[in-house]
Amino acid sequence: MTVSSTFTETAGLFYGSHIDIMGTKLEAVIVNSNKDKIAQCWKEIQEEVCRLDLLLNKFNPASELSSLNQKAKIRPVKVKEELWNILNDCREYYDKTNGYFDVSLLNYTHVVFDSREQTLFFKDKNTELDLGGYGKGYALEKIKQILLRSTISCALINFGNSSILAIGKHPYGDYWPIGIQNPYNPEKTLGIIQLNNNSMSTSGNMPNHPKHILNPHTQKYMEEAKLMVVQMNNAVDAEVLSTALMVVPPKNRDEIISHFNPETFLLFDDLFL
Amino acid sequence: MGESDIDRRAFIKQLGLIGQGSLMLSALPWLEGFAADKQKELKGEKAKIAIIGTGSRGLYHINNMLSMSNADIVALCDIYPPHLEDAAALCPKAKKYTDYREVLASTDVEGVLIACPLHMHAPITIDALNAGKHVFCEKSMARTPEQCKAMYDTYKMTGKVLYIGQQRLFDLKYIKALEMVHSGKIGEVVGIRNFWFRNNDWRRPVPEPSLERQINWRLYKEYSGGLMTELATHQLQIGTWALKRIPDYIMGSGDIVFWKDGREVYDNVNVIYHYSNGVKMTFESIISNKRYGMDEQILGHTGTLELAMGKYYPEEPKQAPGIQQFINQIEHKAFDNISIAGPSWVPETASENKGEFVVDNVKTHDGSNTTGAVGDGSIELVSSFCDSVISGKPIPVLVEEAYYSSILALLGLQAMEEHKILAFPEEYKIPYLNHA
Repeated sequence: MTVSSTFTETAGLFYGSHIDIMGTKLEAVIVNSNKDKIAQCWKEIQEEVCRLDLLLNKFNPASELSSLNQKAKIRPVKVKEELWNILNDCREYYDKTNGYFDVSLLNYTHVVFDSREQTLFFKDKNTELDLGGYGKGYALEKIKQILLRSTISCALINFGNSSILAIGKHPYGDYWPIGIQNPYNPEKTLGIIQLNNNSMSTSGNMPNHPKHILNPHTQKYMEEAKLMVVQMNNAVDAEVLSTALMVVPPKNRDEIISHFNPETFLLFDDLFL
Repeated sequence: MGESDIDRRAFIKQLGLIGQGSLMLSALPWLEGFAADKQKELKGEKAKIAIIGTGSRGLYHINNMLSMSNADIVALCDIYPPHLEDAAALCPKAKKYTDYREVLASTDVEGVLIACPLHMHAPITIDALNAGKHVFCEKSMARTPEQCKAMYDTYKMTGKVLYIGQQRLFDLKYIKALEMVHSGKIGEVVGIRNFWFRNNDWRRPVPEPSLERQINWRLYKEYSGGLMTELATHQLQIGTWALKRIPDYIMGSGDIVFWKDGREVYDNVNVIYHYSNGVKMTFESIISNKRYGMDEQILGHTGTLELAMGKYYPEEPKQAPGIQQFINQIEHKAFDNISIAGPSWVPETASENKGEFVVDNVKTHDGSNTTGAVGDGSIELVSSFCDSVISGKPIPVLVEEAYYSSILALLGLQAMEEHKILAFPEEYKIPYLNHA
């Protein structure tokens, strides 16, 4: 884990980066003249993402999610409040996306929620919960709360290039202009998202990382050169919708998008074209 | 226009993209013939060429030359009838010979392309130059350093065109990579590693035992220096090209480790060329394990080049730029978009330094083909030879580079055979690279 930051006094400009957190990197640009306030804010962001890594990152063997993944296939496991709420939230998203957003990567209906005991049990032993298409959005919403609590009104937070949160707008423009890079042809910009007090999420494949999105209905990896970009007020909604769109068949897209009502969406089905 | 002409046009076009037109060509004098004005002088003429040696490599060249608009194959020569007939089938109008001296006596022939066993390179080349013919001779130059020197001296004395088949000088990915070396892109060159691994006995089928030595000439010392003259010469040129100097001493070790089938040449060699600044170039070849294939690697203190792969690896791969680009913008009160959004960045993909291709549409091969590979510069080299035959003007650099690569291969062989560390002999230095 590598954390670094710089502050330019004259412009009141802070840049912080945190490499290798929740399986990716976190970057923050914060514009504010109060150096101490920014430092405090960045510290809180640090603590929050480290806490979330221990909660949601299935690749972190010490995380609550890892422990749940190990035990819930054997017997019902008591789940603490925050993770319980998250997994229930994922159940709502599962319904809202007609089952295309499935953190079990298998069949979320085979995950048994016992609300009275607040326990979870995997009926299918092959189940392994993966919050990869949720966690960064969730973290961005938490970071948004920290920034707003600290009365920061101009910031841009980038979680691994795929999830970006804007507080306010670019100091010299009407929005934060975020270009979408074609991962198969990095020289090429596919479009520009105008972020202003909202979030965007991008899901897609990269030439050197093609097998990371699984279609829960077919159990096949999506290896097409697709890229789904969604801009929404809520970072979790954006994250979930862009992830689901990777596997939703084109004919069913309109219906699912209508359940979310995103501000903007850009869908690229064949980046080689 | 034939296929080879199309290849050549693409080559010239890409060459232009590497540098900036004439500026670039001045740094690559052996390619000056490809400049548009030089091409005009040739007025669409055809060079009348005789092919001496129509075995596998000879046929490879014939096949390429048949689609070159500047080549006319007028004669074929080989002492082995089946090979001569193979070639005649491709060039029915060409006159057939079995004695190269008769070819040289023919006034129809302007240039000869020699693709015969190594031990005959020097005698035929020297006779041909003295007979007033322009010569293309396959690499290595010759079987012994003395012969190489005699070829070089005859070339200089006759003023005729001489080409040696060092096709890397005409291979775009090499040209670009060496330009990167010379422009300091990889920093100070601190090492060069050449290797060529195959896993086969390097034999050709022999129709009857009496033809063994004739057909499998590569395996016998009388005709061949083995891996050093057949493979190393291609690669050892990289040292001279990259470092612009020749080594001061040479050491090595060679053995027949695996293919103990009566051959006389090593199947397992390892040679070190030491330069006066302490940099070393190595050549390693084993033909009983093919895992690592073939490559030449130039190691600089800020980057690495894998020449055969056409790849460049900076020592510190650049981090994908993130939103810190906005910092610079805001500092300068500017507003512009930055293209960063995309699939999730994962540390695993960042730590994998996959390198960058040095040219577009790079064509690579693994060194397993024993006659010639696609896009390795051979076509451009032979086509350039035909131009030179038409113009009658020798080209700079090529013979000198080829000479030193052949000498280095042969000195490496001598070091291995004598179990000695050899100093580079004064008598084999030529007026090139500051050796007056």
